[in-house]
Amino acid sequence: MLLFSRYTYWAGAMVALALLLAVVGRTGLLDPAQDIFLRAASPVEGGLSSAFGPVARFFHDVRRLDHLQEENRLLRSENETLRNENAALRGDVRRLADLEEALGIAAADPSAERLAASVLSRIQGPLTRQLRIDKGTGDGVTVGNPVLSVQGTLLGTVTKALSASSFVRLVADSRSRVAAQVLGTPADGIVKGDGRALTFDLVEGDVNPGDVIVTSGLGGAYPPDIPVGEVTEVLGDSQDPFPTVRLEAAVRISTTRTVLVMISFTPSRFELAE
Amino acid sequence: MRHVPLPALLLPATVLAQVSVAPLFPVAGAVVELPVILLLLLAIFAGPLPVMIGLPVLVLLLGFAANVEFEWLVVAYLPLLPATAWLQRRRAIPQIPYLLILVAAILAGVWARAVFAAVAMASGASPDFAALLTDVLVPGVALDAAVLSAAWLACRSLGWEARSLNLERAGL
Repeated sequence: MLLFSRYTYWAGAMVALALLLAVVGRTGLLDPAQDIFLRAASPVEGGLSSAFGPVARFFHDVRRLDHLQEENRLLRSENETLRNENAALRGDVRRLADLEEALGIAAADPSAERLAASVLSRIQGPLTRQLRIDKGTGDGVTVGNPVLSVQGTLLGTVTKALSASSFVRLVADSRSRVAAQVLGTPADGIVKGDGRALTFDLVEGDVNPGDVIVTSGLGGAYPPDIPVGEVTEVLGDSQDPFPTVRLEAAVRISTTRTVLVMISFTPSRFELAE
Repeated sequence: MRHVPLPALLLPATVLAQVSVAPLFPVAGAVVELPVILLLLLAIFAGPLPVMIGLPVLVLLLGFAANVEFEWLVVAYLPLLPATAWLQRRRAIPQIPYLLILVAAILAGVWARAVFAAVAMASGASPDFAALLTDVLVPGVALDAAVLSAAWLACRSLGWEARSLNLERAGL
C-alpha cells in the first residue's frame, strides 16, 4: 500500500503536469521552445538518418528481392509506354500553347508556387505517418499547404508550421482524407490511409486496376488533378456498389528526401482532410 | 548508471532515435517503442528516481519532436513505472529481472500503442481493431522484446545490476 501511495503522489503530479502542458501547448506558448529544440536537433536527426538509412534500405531490399525484380521488369515496360505517351503529349502541349497564344490566354506557371524542402525525419506511430521538413513559416509555409513529391504526386498536408520547420501529415496517415476521382472519368470518392497503405472509397462510378486516382478539388482542401496513386486491386464482386479499392502511391516515402510545398495554395474553410 | 549525466544524455538521444531511426526499421505497421525500453532499463538498472525525473523531460522532448500532444504521451508512459514496481512487489511473475522487464515491456508496449491508436481513431482513423492487433500491436511488441533483449545483454555485459523499484528501498 505504501508503494502504491508514494507512486500515487508522483502520478498525480504527472497528471497535473500533463494538463498544464495540454493547455499551454494549445495556446502556442511552447512553439518557440519547440522550434529551438527542433533547430538544435535537426543536424543530429539528419546524421542519424544518413547513417542508418543505407542499412535500412539494404534490409528492405533483401527482404523484397523477388518483388523488386518483378517490379523492375514492370517498370521497364511501363517506362517504354510512358516515353511514347510523353512524346505524343509534347506534341499536344505545343499545339495547346499555339492555341492559347492565338486566343490570348495566359497560363500560370504552377512550378512558381512550389517550394522545395528537405525531409528531416519520418515519424511513424500506430496508424499515423508524418514527415518533418526544413521549411517553415519563415519560408512562407502555412498550415494546410499541400505537399508533393518532386515528381508531383500528393504526399500530404502541412499540419503544423513552426518558423524553421513544419510537420506534414502524410496521405497514408489513417487520419487523412482526400477527395479524389478517377482520372478521365466522373468516378469519384475519398482516398484514405490506414497507416501503411491507401484505399479509395468509391462514392460513384466504376474503377479498374491500373486507373490513376487524382485529387478532385472537392472540399477545397487540395487543388484538383494532383496524382495520388494508381489502383492496384479492386476487391468485391461486380454487384458490390462499394468495393474496396487498393491504391499504390507512385512515390516511396521511405526514400523521399526532397518534397515540394504548394505555398500559394490555401485550403478553403471547409477542410475535408481534417 | 549512478550518475545523472548518462540518463540526461540518453533521454534526448532516445527521442531523436525514435523519430529518425525507428521509422527506418518498421515491421508491418509498427516501429519499436524506444521510450518504453529506455524507461524500463533506467528503472531496473538506475532505480525509480531517474524515471520519475526523466519522464516529464521525455514527454516534453518527444512531444516537440513527434508533434504528439503531451497529455497523450503522459497517459501512454505514466503507468509503466508503477506497473513494473507492482509486478516486482507482488511477485506476480518469477523474480528474474530480465523476465520482469520483458513482461513489463510487453504490457507497456501494448498500452502505449493502444493509447496512440485510440487518439488516432478519435481524430478520424478507421477503427479497424483486427488490423491494429495484427499490424501494430503484435509486431510492435515483438520488436520491443527483441530490442529490449539486446539492450539488456549490453547493460549486463557492462556489469550493471538490477535494482528494486520499491520507493522506500530507493530512499524516497
